[in-house]
Amino acid sequence: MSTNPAPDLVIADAVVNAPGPRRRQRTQTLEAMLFLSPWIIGFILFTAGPIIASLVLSFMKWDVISPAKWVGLANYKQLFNDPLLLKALANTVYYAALSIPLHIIVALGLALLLNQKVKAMPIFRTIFYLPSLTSGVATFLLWGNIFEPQAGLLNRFLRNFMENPPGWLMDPAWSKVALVIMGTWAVGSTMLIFLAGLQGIPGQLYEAASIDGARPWSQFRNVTLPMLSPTIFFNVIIATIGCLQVFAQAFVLTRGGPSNSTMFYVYYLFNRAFVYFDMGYASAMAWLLFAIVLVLTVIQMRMAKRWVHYG
Amino acid sequence: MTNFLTRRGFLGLAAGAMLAGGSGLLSGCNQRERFVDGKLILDFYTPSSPEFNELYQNKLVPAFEKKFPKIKVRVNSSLGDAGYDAKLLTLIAGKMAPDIFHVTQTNFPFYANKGIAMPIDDFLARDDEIKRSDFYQKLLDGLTVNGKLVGLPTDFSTIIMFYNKDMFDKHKVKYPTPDWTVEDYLEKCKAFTLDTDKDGYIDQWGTTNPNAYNRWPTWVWNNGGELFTPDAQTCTMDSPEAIEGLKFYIDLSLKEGVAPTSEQSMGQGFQEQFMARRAAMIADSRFAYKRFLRKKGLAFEWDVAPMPTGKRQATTFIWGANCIYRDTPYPEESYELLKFLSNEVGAAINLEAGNALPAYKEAAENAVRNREDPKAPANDLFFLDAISYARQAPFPPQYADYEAAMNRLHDAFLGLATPKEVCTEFTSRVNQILQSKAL
Amino acid sequence: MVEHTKRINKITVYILLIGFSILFAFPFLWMVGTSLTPGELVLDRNRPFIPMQPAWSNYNEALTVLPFATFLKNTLIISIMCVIGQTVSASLVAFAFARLKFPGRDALFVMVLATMMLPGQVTMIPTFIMFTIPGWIDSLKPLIVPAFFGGGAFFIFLLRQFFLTIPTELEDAARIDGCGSFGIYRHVILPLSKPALTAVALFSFMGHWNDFLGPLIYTQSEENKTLALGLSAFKGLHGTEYHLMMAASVAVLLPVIILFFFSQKYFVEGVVTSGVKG
Repeated sequence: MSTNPAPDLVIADAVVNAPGPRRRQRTQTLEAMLFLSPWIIGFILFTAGPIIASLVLSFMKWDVISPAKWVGLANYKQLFNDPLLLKALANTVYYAALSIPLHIIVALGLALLLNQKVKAMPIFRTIFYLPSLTSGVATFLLWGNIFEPQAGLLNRFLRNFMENPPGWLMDPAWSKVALVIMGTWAVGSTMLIFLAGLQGIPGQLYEAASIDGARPWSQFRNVTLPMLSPTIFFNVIIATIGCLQVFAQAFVLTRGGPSNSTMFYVYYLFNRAFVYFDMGYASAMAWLLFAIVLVLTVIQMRMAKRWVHYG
Repeated sequence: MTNFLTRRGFLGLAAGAMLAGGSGLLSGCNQRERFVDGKLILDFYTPSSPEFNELYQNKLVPAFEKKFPKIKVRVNSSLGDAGYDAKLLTLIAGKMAPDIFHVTQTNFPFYANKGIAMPIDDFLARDDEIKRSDFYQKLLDGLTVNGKLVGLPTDFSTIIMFYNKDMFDKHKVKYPTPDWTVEDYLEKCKAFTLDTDKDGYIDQWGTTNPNAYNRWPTWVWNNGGELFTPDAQTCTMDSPEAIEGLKFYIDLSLKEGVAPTSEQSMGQGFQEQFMARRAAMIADSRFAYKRFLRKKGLAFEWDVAPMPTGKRQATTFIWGANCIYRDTPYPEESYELLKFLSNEVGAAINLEAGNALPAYKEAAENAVRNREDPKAPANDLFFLDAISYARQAPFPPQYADYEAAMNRLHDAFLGLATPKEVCTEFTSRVNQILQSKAL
Repeated sequence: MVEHTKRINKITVYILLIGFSILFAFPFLWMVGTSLTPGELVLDRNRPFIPMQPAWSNYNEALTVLPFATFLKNTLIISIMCVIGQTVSASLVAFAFARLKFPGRDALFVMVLATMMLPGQVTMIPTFIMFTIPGWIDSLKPLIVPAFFGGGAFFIFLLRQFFLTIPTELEDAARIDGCGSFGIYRHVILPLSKPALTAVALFSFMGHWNDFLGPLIYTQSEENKTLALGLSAFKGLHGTEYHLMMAASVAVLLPVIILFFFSQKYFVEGVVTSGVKG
C-alpha cells in the first residue's frame, strides 16, 4: 500500500477536520492584531500623544514662552468670529474644488499615455515625473517668470488671442487659478499610482473585450475605469486631504497675497502658531479643519460603495 | 524582501520595537549634554549662511575657546532662514532652548515683548572690557525694550543709494550729489526708463521701489511725515505728509513708471535688477558688498550716494544682534560669548564675512575711514554719515498684528487701492490694535 | 485598415509623449542650464539657456562650501532605513485591512486615515517635546524609528487598495493548501503587488530624501544634517546665489532620478495573467 493517500481523500479530510467558523474568526482576529501591531504600537508611542496634546491645547492659550492658560471654548468661539479665517477657508475650498478634479483627470490622462507599449518608455516616464522632483525654489522661481503679467511666457502667448490676459499671481482674482495650474503640473505621484493601478489590470480583460468587438472608448469605460476604481478612490481621498491642507505655495511664494487672495487655511494656521505665538488658537483651527476633512472623507467612503469595484 | 521576514522574525520585530520604545521612555529626560570633558557647552543658534558658518567654526569659536578654555561653543546653524523662527519656538517649547540666539530687525520685534531675551544692563554695567559707548547708541535703542537692553548688536547698515556709473555715463546723466533732492531723483530716473530691445516692453528702469518695511518709511519721513506720535501711542500714517510721501514712493512704479512694478520684477529681487543692469539706482545696505565686491565683482563701475532729501533728510537702518535666552542656566558664560560676538574679535569676523558694518563703533569707523577694503566705492563714507539721521522702522509691542495690518499697504503697491485709502485704513486698524493693549 | 489605425494611434502617442516631455523637462533643463552658468552671468536676463562655456566649477564650489558628503551620508541612512521600515510595516498593516476580518475593522481604518487629516503644524511642537523624553533630539532617530511602526496612513491606504484588487480565488486555493494568513501574505499578496510596493518604496525614498522640516527640527549639530537642509542654505539672508543653488539642487536630484529610472521595470505588468480561470 502506498504511503500517499489519494488526493481527494486529503481534501475531504481537510474539509471535515477544518476548524469551526467561530474558532476561525478568533484566529483571524488574533492574526489581524499581530499584523496591525506595528501601527497600533506606533500610534500609542508616537502619534496619540501629540494628537491629544494638540486637542488639549486647543482649549488653552499658549504662547510657548509663558505657561499655558485654560480658556475653555474661547478659541473655538473666536474661530467663527474671525473674518480672515473664513476667508482662508473659502480660499482653500476654492483651490481644492479646482485642483482635485484637475489633478485626477490630468494624472489619469498622463498615466494612460505612459501605459502604452512604446519604446523608451522608462525615459518618458522619468521625464514626466521630473516636475514632482524639481526643487521647490527652482519651481517657484520658474513659474514666477512664466506667470509674469507683462513679459512672462504665458501672457506673451496669450496676447496673440486676447487684449488683456490675466494678471495671474499679481491679480487677486486669478492668483489661486495660477497656483492650481502650478500644482497640477506636479502630479507625478498621482500619475505614478494610476500607472501602478493600470499595470495591475489583467491583459486578458482587454483581449476578451476586443474579441467581443469593443472599441477603445468602450474598453476604457467598461474595463479600465471599473478595474481602476480602487485607485481612483485612493487618489480622490488623498487629493482631498492634501489640497485642503495646501501650504507650501503660500509660504514660499505668495505669502498669502495679493490682498489675502492666497491666504490658505493651513498657512494662516501656521502664522497664528509661529508668528503670533498663539498655539491654542492654531490648534483649534487644526481641529476644525480635521472635522471638516473627516466628514468629507466619510461621505466619500459611503459613496464609494456605489462605484468602487474590488477584485 | 519576503525572504527574511518569517513569522518569527516578524514577532521579533514587534517585541523589539516595544522594548526600544519602553526603554526609551524609562531612560529619563537626558535632553542634551551640558558638560563634555568637564567643559560647559553653550548653544548658539543662528541662521548663518555657509560662508559665515565657516568663519564661525574656523575662526570665532576657536578664538573664544582659547580665551575661555572651560567653555565649548556649539554653533547650531539653521542654514538659511527658512523655518528659523519656527524652530526657535520649538526648541523653547521642548525645553531645549539655545543659550544665545541671533535676531535681526525683521524678526526681533516678534520676540521683543515676549520676554524671552535676558536684559544685560547689569552685565554691561559691571563690565570693564566693553561699555555701552563702544556701540552705536541707535542700535542699542533698537534693542531696548521697556527701558532694558536685551541684546548686543553685532552688525548693521544704513540704507543709501547705489548707482551704476556706467549707465549714468552712457545716458549722460550727472552723478547724484550729496545734497540732491527727491525731485532730482525722479528726473534722473526718467532718463533711464527705456525699452532697450524694442520689443514693446520697458526693460530698463531708473530705480526700484520694493515694498519692504525697512525701505518705505524713509519716504514718509523725508516728506515730513511720521508713522507714530513721539510717545508711540498713536499711529499717524493718515496725515497728509505721510500719505503724500508714501504715494511718491509708490508712484515711482505705478504712475511714473520709472521703477518696475511688482508684476514686472516678479522673481527677481531689486538687488538682482541692479546687478543685471536693469535698474540704474537702488536703495540698499552695505550688506550688498558681499555680493558686489566678492569674486569678480560687478561688471560695471558703481558708487554710492546718500538718499535724496525731501523736506528733510531721512533713511532707515537694518541690523543684526544676539540675545541671551531668558531662562538659560548659564547667564554669566552666555554673556561672555555674547560679548565676544560683538567686540573687536567678533567685529573683525563680521567684516570678513561681509556682514556690512560692525556695531562696534571703532571697528566700523576704521573699516570705512581707513578703506580697509580697497574695492569699496569711493564714497563708502556716506554709510557712516547717514547714521546721524538714520532711524529704525518703528515696531509697536503687538508686532504680529501690526505686520498683518501692513499687508493692506501692499494693495497700494499693486494698484488695487489708492495710497490714501490704504493709509487711512491702516492707521485706524493700528490704532485699534494699540488701544486694545493685547499682547 | 486596422494596421493603419494602429499606426496613426502610435504616431499620436509619440507626438503627445514628446510634446509633454518638452513641457515637463523644461524646468529641469533650466535648472541644469542655470547650474552651469558662471556666477557673473547668472542674473543676466538675456543669458543663453545653456551657457557657451559651462561652468562645471559651480558644482565643485556648491558641494564643498558645506559638508555635503556628511549630508549625503545622513540622508542615505534615513532614506534607506525608512524605505525598509515603511514598505514592510505598511504592507503588514494593509494586509490586515484588506484581507482579514475582525470586529471594528472599518472604524479602525477610518482612524488610520484620520491621522492624515490633522495639519502637522500643530503636532510639531508636542511631537518635538515627546522626542526630548528619550533624548533623541539632535539624532536621526526621530526621523527613522517611526517609519517602522506602520509606515504612515498614506502607504497603508495605498497598499490596502491594491491588495483589495487581488482576486480572492488565489487566496482560497492557498488556504486549502494549508496556508495560514502569514503564508498568504508572503506567498500570494506580496509577489502580486510588485508595482504597488515599488511605488511605496519610491515614494518613501523620495519623501525622506527631500524632507526639510523633519531634519530642520530634530537636528542641531552639523554632522547630523541632511541634503535638504544644505540646499536651503543657499537661500541666504542677503541674496541668493542662483548658480550655486541650482548646482547643488541638480546634484541632490540626480540620485533620485537615476533610482526612479531603474525602478521602472518593477512597474511592468507582473500581475495576474495566469492561474485564474474565469
